[in-house]
Amino acid sequence: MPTEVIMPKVDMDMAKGKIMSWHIAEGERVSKGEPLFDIETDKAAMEVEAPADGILHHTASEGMDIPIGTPCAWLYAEGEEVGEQPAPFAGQAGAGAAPEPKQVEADVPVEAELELVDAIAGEATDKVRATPRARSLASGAGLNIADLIGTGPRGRVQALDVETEIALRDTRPAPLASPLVFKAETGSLAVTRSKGGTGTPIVMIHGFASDATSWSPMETHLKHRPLIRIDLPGHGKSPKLRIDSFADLVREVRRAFDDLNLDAAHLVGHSLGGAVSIALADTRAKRLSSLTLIAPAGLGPDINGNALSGICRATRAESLGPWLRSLVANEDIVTDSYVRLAMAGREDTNLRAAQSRLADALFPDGVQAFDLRAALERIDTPTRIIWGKQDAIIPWKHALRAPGKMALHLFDGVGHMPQIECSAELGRILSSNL
Amino acid sequence: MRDTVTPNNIPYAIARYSAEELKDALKKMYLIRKFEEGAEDSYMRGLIHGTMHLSIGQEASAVGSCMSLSDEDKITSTHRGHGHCVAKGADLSRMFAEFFGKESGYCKGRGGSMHIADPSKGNLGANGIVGGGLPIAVGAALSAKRLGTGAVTVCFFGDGANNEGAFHEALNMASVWKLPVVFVCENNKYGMSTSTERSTSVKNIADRAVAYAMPGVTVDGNDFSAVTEAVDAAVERARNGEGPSLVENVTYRWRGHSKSDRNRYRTKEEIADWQSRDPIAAMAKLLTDHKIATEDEVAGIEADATRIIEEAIAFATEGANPKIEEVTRDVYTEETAS
Repeated sequence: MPTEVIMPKVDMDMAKGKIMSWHIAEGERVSKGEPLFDIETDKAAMEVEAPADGILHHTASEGMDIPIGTPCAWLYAEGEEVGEQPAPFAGQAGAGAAPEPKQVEADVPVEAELELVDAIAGEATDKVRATPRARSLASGAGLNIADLIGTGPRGRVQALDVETEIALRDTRPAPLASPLVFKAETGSLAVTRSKGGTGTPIVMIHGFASDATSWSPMETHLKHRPLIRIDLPGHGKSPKLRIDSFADLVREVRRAFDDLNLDAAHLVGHSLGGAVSIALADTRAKRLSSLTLIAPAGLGPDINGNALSGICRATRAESLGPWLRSLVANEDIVTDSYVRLAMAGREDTNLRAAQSRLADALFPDGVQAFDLRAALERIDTPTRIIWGKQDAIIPWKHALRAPGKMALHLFDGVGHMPQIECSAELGRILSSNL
Repeated sequence: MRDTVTPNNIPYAIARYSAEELKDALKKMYLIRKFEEGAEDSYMRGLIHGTMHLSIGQEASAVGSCMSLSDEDKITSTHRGHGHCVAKGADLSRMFAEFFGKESGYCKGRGGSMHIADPSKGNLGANGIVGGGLPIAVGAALSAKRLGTGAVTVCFFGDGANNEGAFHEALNMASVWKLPVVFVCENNKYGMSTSTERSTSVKNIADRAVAYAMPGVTVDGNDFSAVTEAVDAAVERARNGEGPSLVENVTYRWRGHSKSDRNRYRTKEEIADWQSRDPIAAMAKLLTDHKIATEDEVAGIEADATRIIEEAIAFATEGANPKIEEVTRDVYTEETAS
């Protein structure tokens, strides 16, 4: 008989809890009392410990709401036969088959996933008081009439209001989520591997608006190990998935990491990839031999929102160049040909749309909307944090918030891209420890 | 801390109590542990409403402090009071029924975890208010003194209560009137999430006794013998008309403050360290080391406790729910209800 893992009641008024993440992958062994999964209630997030020793199977998928007192997974004894899920998850639509919410989403035709701001504008107009001329002007300019403030009788939107908005829009910088058409894709994240190398592999997760190629300067110093690079959703060769929150992003990367089926790995993450790495290390501690965070996000609210939106918005090398130069301390290393190459990789408008959307979800109003300090405190994997003291994107002083058990390497005269700006030294630090 | 070993190298509790009394004390400690584990499991399954405060890890303090008390003697308890209740001889079935909100519960299902009282056993009740039991204990001791009943009151409270005004008022008044009361502070290191280091100006809470001209002693609250030795001496002093005492049992709650606690203020290492000093395991070792009980007997006592708890949960599950039209019965007095 497998042991039920139940969704515990942890708050007085709690009726159900959301599974945020599993600390243990399916098929892995867990001991009684070890952290097993994180839940979120109306009030707070909480870690739940394993009720018994066993091997984890039939887990409720992350993001699923489970009523209290009902099972969300089962623990099997060593050698015990794992058959069908003993019972469906309670409270799910069509409980018999216990479908995952993801499947429901996948059934929706791709066309329906089109997120056309203009289309929404047309739909919402019915309830807005506006003159026909104002409607026509607004739809021609791609504005949502419902967003406009009407100055006419009883708040009616008039042509003048639309014209004022158009004039304002042209002078005001576009918000991070620019009205680009984003077409959500599905699929698994792109993973690339180096040739050769032995021993424990190094898994690398790049930062926002970057991709796996950004590791190449450092890789020449790490050739002795197998290197595995994961492209974040909406980056590099990965599909442009719909990502609405940091938890969504982590879920996708964790899935890609689990699919690698590694017993042990060194994890290296840069910037946003560093934040994702912290979340991964918090939930996959058993599979990590070390953690290296390069200018990681998630340790404080500050981030250079202008640079993020500038990079997302840029449609040509001339507008991308200045922002790329702000990433590094010595601007000379960002040559014109480098900028042209970078722009070539960003020509896909859907990629830019996906990244704008991601930036708006993760860094609304130029603020890091997620805080991983508590997760960092919990990490017992040997961890080092590397930062450039001329970082103009995320302040290097966030590094000082790390617990004392972690090593800090702070470089003078280096900006946000230590893996490019001082790749040889990073390679030395990494290889001396891996 | 006091040396708990007598000149003959025999721990106080072994010298003072009979084998039966000691085995009964171990059984009560198991009952407290298993009662609370059962309550916790039921709570997580959504069978119990409200919240609850578990004293798992503090069993030696509850049972040791009640060893020399009779049913005539009183206790006042705290919001973390299940252990005191069991130590003072409560019926486990009625306790569980109260948790489950059943008519067969101690308060007919209307009180819950924090309102269990059993005057027939001298238990004046748990209390949802921090430090709320202190003035009640002084009142009970005053009544015993005026009526000349010879009863002693043991007043349990936590480290959080020692910074309440009620604590200082109660100790002062009890001292001024030389009342037969023993103040037992269960210092489990944290008032909710605030450590005593951050909340309390004195190193040991027992140091505060000096201010009220009464003896104050700090003991290892996970050492059954040390607790009985200190509290028994204080009870005897009270019975002899010499006035109140303050005993501080230093212990630790393994679980969070309440069921909503996220344990963000202490480390897993600290919890594990205290778990390695399990008062029940220490008590079992005390009894086997001194040939009071064999290991088989200890296992039998534990199995007995497990069975009693299973029966208590079954009793509570089968009990009748209160009728909705009677929900205010026993809640308001007749005068105000009409």
